[in-house]
Amino acid sequence: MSRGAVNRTILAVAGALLVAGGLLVLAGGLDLYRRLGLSMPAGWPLTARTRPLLGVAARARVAGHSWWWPVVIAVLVLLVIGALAWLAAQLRRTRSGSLELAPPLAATALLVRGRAVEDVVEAATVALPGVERVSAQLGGPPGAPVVRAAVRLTTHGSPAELLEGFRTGPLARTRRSLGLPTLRSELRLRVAPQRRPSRRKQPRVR
Amino acid sequence: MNAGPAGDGAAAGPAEPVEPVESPEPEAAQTVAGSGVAGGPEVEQDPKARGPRSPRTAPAFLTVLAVLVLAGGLLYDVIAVRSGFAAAPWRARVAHELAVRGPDDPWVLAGAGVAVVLGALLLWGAFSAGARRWLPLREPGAVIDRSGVAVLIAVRAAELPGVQGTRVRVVRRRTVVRVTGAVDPAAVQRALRAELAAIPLAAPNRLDVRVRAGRPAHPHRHGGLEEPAGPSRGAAS
Repeated sequence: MSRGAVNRTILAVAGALLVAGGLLVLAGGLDLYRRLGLSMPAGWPLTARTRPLLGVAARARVAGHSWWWPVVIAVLVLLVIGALAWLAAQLRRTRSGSLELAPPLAATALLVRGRAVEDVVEAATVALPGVERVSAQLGGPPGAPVVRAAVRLTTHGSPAELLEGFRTGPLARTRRSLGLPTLRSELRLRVAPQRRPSRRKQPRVR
Repeated sequence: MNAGPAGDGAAAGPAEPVEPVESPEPEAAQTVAGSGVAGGPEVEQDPKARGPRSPRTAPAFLTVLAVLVLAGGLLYDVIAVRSGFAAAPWRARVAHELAVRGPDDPWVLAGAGVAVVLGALLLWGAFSAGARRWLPLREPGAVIDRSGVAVLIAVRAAELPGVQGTRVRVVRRRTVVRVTGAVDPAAVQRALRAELAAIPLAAPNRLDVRVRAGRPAHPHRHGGLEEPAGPSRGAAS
């Protein structure tokens, strides 16, 4: 599961719990069950408006089970461990500093520094027409490297030409020289902000 | 290269004597040029093409932090109570409030409302795509900045004869161009449509050109200052 998918699952579960809990309390507090004529099953919580959320008797009944506190502690421990693991995963370096090429992936075993690949891609891309600035990064999981390039075009650059040029130029060359025909690429194109001709600076024509 | 034929065609339109036979020709040339340029990988535009999805790191971080603080604090106190210490004041207070207040208590209702809103926000963040700044391009993995598309269109529009001002807004499926100036709306539309078609967007993007007749070529204020000077001088002499 990708990092984005993990994050979205966390958000979805937390959001669903908050919405469900909030709606339960609102339904009980605004007496929606009686107003809408709904009869809920016997064990449905918070159906009575004025009964305390967690009365002393209810608490004693819940805590009376011998399994209650071990389960609570186990759940809390799991939550804390999960949260710490998530934080640790964020702190871990996302890009490996080097690209390991081994026989299943490439023809020969080779260790290439990521910075070297990035430099080559940047130098070849910035030479394409209409390119103002490039920054490239080598990323992706160990088995499936990805070249990510952020390109800034000049205001007269052509995105179509750049895509074509990047695919046949820097990307093709990198794939060939690394012996990685399946090397993936991600391109983010931006365009230099337009310089508006300011009227004040124009020389006055008499 | 792609702007070249399109520019020639658009410039040829108004510059040459008005001939109805001429008008379809540049347009045909433009479409040919457009398809020729866009034809890198032969992929048709896909109306359902999706851009990148935001990783949602910041909201997930806040959620995880809240879980860590709540679960960690509660765990600490539960273990403390289990090993014979007294419960922390905050926990006794929470237990007391829960044992006193029912669901119809205003504070409880307000808290429940906040929880529902917050939960809805988190759910929205979990299921919406995000990263709306980027439009997918036809090449897999390639995206372009929406404001970058706007700049390309605005630069092209500013080059057209008679255009005084442009404002371009690009949203996911639509580009709205407001042009000020004494221009031929059809010519502007043709030129900008060719320019937009030259950007190989994965999803179709509709062009909407609105032309407003602008002020006269010389700003009014200058004219207003100089004009009285002329006649007054003339009257004095």
